[in-house]
Amino acid sequence: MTDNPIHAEILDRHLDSLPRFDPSPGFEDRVMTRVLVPPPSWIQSLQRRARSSVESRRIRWLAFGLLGTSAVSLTILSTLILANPTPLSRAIAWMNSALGIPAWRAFIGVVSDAVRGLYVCLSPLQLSRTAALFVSAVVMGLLVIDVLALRLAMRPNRMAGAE
Amino acid sequence: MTSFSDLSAATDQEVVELARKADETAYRELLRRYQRPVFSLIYRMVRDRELAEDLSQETFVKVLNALDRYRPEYKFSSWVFKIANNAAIDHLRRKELDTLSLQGGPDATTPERVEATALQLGDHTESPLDELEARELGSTIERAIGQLRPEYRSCIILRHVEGRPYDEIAVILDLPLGTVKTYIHRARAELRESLEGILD
Repeated sequence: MTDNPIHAEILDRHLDSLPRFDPSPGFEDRVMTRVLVPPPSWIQSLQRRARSSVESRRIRWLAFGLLGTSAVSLTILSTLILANPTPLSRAIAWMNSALGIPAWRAFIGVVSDAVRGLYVCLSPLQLSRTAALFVSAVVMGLLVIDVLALRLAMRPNRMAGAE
Repeated sequence: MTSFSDLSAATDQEVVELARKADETAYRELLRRYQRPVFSLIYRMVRDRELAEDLSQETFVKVLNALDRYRPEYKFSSWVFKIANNAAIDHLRRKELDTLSLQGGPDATTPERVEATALQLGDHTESPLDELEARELGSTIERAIGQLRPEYRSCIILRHVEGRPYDEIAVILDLPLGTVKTYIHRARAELRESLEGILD
């Protein structure tokens, strides 16, 4: 029986026609959530450059120098402030009156102008409660459609897989 | 350089090269190419759909996270199948599942579990009669394959379902070429014996 060439041929035919199976839907996404895709090459090269810069002696001296200079400057400034509190508080009061208050007033003016303008534009509109509800529903519906369309547009392109 | 639009026409090596340049679509393309073959191999080895999905997932996570360690002098398919086969064999060894249940998976202890773990066949037929016939025939063959030793089973699946050449099977299974040929010869002989009735 086992040496029968016809049986061997039939068996081979049956074996060759065995189907492949599909994993359940969403398999690809489940795998991709656990895969670490490395950052793009330009970021990788930037990271490499930054790492090698940090490791180089010149950059280290420069960083230490900058840190040292900043520390010395801050110390001198703090000492000056603590030694002369009155002129400093005067300077702050002058800055507040000369710059802070006008800037705040200008900001309030711009905001109230914008609100007033919007009110003027919308005041001629007279909507009943039903119409207002309808408009709100339409706007919400459009928002939902927008989100769905965005999701569809961002879905990766499905291509026929070579087997 | 290979662009996104012709990924499906690109070779595995080209897609891997793109994936190494952090192109996520290349990762997905590799997954699309191999998810059915890998899942089919593991499913036929462990005969439990849920478990096969888990092992296939582990396989792909391992493969895709180690792309930088892949050596292009080997075929990408060999590398993927090797990892998939090792995952299945390791599981079978761990669970001592050399002999498998005839109707369902080895973990099937209840009728529901048997139903859930039986291989789903006959999806590609045209009429209900054809489907029934194919389902019965397919089940008999699948059952006979399920009774083979795991090494024979890997060889038969890789050779006949995946159509891999002998030398690639030898690379995948880490076996000498002669051993692979012997395994396939013996596996066929065992299958012919088990399927004596339907081959007449």
